Amino acid sequence: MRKHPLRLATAVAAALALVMTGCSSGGDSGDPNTLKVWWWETDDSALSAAWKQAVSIFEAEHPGVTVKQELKTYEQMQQSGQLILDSDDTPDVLEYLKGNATAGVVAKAGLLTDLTDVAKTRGWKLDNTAQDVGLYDDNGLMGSGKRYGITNYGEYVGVWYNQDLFARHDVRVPTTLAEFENALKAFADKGVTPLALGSADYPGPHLLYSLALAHMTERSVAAYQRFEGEADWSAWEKAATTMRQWVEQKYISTDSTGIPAQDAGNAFIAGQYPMFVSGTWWSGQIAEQPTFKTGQFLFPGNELHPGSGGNLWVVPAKAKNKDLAYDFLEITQRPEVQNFLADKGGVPVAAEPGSASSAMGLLVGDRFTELLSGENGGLAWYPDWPVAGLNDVLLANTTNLVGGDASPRQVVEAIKAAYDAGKPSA
Amino acid sequence: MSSLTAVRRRSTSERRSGYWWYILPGAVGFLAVVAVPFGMNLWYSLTSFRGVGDPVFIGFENYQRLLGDPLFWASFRHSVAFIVAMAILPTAIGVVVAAVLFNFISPKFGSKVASFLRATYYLPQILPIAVAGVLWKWMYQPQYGIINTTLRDLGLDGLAQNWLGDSDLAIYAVMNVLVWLQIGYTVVVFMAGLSRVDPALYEAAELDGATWLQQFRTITLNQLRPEIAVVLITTSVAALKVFAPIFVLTRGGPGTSTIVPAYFSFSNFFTTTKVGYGAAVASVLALMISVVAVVLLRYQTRNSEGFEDGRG
Repeated sequence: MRKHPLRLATAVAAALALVMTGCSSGGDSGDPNTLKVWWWETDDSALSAAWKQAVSIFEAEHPGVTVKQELKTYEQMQQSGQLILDSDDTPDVLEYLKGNATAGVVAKAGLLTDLTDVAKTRGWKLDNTAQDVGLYDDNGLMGSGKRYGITNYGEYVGVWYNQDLFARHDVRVPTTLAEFENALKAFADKGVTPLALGSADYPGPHLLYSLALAHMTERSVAAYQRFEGEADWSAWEKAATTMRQWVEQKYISTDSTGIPAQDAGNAFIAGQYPMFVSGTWWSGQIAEQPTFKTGQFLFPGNELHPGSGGNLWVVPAKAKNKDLAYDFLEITQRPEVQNFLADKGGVPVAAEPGSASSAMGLLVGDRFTELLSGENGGLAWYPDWPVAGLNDVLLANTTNLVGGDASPRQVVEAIKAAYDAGKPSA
Repeated sequence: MSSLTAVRRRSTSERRSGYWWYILPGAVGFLAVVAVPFGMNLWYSLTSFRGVGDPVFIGFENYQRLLGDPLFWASFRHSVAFIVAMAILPTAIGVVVAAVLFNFISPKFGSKVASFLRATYYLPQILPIAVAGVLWKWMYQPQYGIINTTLRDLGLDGLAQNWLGDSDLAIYAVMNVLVWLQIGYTVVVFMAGLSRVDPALYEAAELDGATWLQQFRTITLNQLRPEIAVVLITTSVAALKVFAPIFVLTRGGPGTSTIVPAYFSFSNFFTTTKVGYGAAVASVLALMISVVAVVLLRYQTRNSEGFEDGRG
């Protein structure tokens, strides 16, 4: 019976500990010559490399100011970020989770600094759609309103494919949904399961959303993501029906309900599957595998693709050295930092075209820029964004769908019910 | 004589009042870690609260919604399965294993062998649950997991299953892990209990020509009644609040086929940030566990009283 209060207390204690380490290691929280920066990207990631470069540029330009960088974890920030931002010992600038349920909630609660005017006076170029993830309205809904954060990178979901397997089975890169299904059939007919899928994790909902986007327009995406009008649930039902058919036609293994995202990615990288519908966060690992030629195409026939700007830099309302924080944010947007990010295989938002030196960097970087330009389509965010906790519901229901435990209609009704329950009341 | 009693009484009461100070650290800890958070939890359960900002008082709305929430009821149905897996099965298996180790292995092969075996049964209890969970997840993995690869190597492809990914099977797969986890605890307690039993009872039974099974039924089970009661209480309470194995193995999935109240409450607290609703689940869970604990304790007291009487 004590478990729950205890757990809450543990979370509070963990947050306090976090805040206190921030405090004790500095002991100088109000020191005007210290910039406290937190992020959770691990040292081997492209982002961490780019941000470390930003830190060294900052230090060179601010003699006498020390940067105290601390590495947190994603889970820490997800679960105790609110408590940290609400404490008196926040860092000056930190990486924070984009979305209604995270940045939206704290923005609404007044825990983040409004950067709208800062961005204007400093002339930051934030008018592309990737930067929409930093905008929150008075209800904490992402996509419009005041600017509370900026992002340095982007991501999108496409179809990774194994060029060697495509050549061996004489399959060409599909450009429409019908061609895509033919390609899937060609592999299935030869006893090869064409899609690597970990539906015990986010790849399940991502695939379902990609299929739903085939039947959606920019307006119905806005309705789903930003509650501008009625969401188009028939698109979801068509998507669920297709996905169920794909399971029956053995394009997807029913085993996938017991397979997490990492296992699915690993299996693709090991050459066991011809295709893997997932995001650009795999680009580093996929580029490094030496055994086969890889490529990526956008979900065939779709104009809209799951994707967005990345997580945010935010300045807590209680930060002590806001001007230094703004200087740092400005540096992260400079071409030298952005180009470096592209070079390391990241997907920058403001790099110069063609600046990446690696083939993978060029592929994902330039395609992202193209998606941002909106000429041949655009970014449709992620299916779990509109409502807090929708991710769990989507996961539970895609596993039910793949496992054959619920009909496509039941699945969509369950998703709709959770969506409606979490919708902000007008 | 009477003055002597008075002196003694006074000194006792003095000593009593002197001892009160010693309770202070514990009381402060209890207040800070149990009482205050529990009170806060009750308060939150009567509010609509997103974790930040101000909680808005809404009365018993959360509890009303809870009663109509099929997921809440499903989580308690799964609790019943976990009581079987964490309390009933481990107790049943534990008694038999303890008896075999104590009455058969130990006399035949020496107490060292018995202690060694007892330690191996206890090992899962020492293993951090996160580690054990990851290991089981690997073993259950449908494609490269050792269970399925072994079955396939033996030509038993039909038996290879999507253990944690099949909504009909997942709960049994999780139950299996829990039985494995709990047996160690019950075996250790029952073996300690058996060492208290008068060996003369077994000797007498043997002289009377009782078989091992008869001895087990009439002596072992009867003599272990207090231990069995304690084990049933502690493991049933543990089963009702089970969280870590679910969190590590399935996160309540696939679908919601293994969701339990503690995980349901957690996900409301931290993923959907419906703190008020999560607090209501936690409060109901606390109530349920208290009821179960009190009922079992009552039952145990009555039983052990009868047991004492019977012996006296």
